[in-house]
Amino acid sequence: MRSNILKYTLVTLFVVMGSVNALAQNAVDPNREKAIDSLALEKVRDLGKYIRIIGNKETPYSESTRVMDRAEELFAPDSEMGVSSLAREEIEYYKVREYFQRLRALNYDKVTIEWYDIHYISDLERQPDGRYVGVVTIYQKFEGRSGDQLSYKDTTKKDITIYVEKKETQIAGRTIEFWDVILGDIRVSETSI
Amino acid sequence: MKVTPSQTKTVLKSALLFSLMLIFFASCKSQKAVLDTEPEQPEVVEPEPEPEPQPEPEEPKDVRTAPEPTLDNKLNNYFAAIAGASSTSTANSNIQEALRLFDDGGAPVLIIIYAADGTEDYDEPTDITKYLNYIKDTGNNVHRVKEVVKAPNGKIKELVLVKK
Repeated sequence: MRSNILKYTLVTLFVVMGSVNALAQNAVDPNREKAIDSLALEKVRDLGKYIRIIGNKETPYSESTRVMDRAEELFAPDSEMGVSSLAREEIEYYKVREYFQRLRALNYDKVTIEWYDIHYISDLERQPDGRYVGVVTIYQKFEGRSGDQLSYKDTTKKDITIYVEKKETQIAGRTIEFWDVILGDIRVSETSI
Repeated sequence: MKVTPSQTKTVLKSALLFSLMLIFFASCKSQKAVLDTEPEQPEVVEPEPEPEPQPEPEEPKDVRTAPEPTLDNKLNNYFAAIAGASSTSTANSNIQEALRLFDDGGAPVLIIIYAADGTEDYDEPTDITKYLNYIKDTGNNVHRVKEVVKAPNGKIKELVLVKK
């Protein structure tokens, strides 16, 4: 009887110690999480700048194609971009490459796109598989001009799902672990003048 | 004739005096003789000193040059120039110049986003051509050179950057 109690006590102790150890290993340095947050936000800002370059009518074709390639690399395969208009209710979704091509081909003389107020609406949360998932909101101000005339203008609020996961690659024979930030679908949540 | 002691004394004194005078005159004469017998020294012609080597012509002192920037300074300057370029063509020519420092345009670029307890967290590795274009496209000059790995030809084959 006494030996059984001792056995159970030891087993319980090992289980508790194992759990504490596992929790300690999973706990992430808050400064590291902050750095990951800011890395992901920077990728969204970069996308905003790429979209501005692609839409800009003064951007040479070869440059906009190169920028499309860089922008597409930010997304998970098959990700979609929502497009809204003040002229219609429904929101159309395009694969990101198609969206970029349509944006470049817009029938205006001048296109100005600006992203602002970029912030998390859902912080990056660590999932059981080790990936972080969060949602960032951006506001996009769009202006299309024909000659000197302002033909169309709107402001859309868009939500971007972000995935961050640790990956590894070989550089000059060394294994480098890095944080891969991947953008998912971009959904339109509001459209206004 | 009897010689008195005082006479003896006087004679001795005189002899002593005479001897002294004799010695004096003799020495004077010998000195003169020495002088007379010394051969005339030929005129000493000092050998002309060897011409000292002329110093290298100095560079004009009024030309001042800035010290040669170190490689990491050079790169950081290129990053700033590309980010702040007034036009795409200016940025592109800076990119072409910067790329000459590299072994090839595919040289890997690692970016440290966080470092603590001896471990470093990286952004997704890229290459130098993409990185320089990234600076051009986004205007982001937010990294500085932390480490440069050179190939045997002296060109950069790997670059490690860190957030400023």
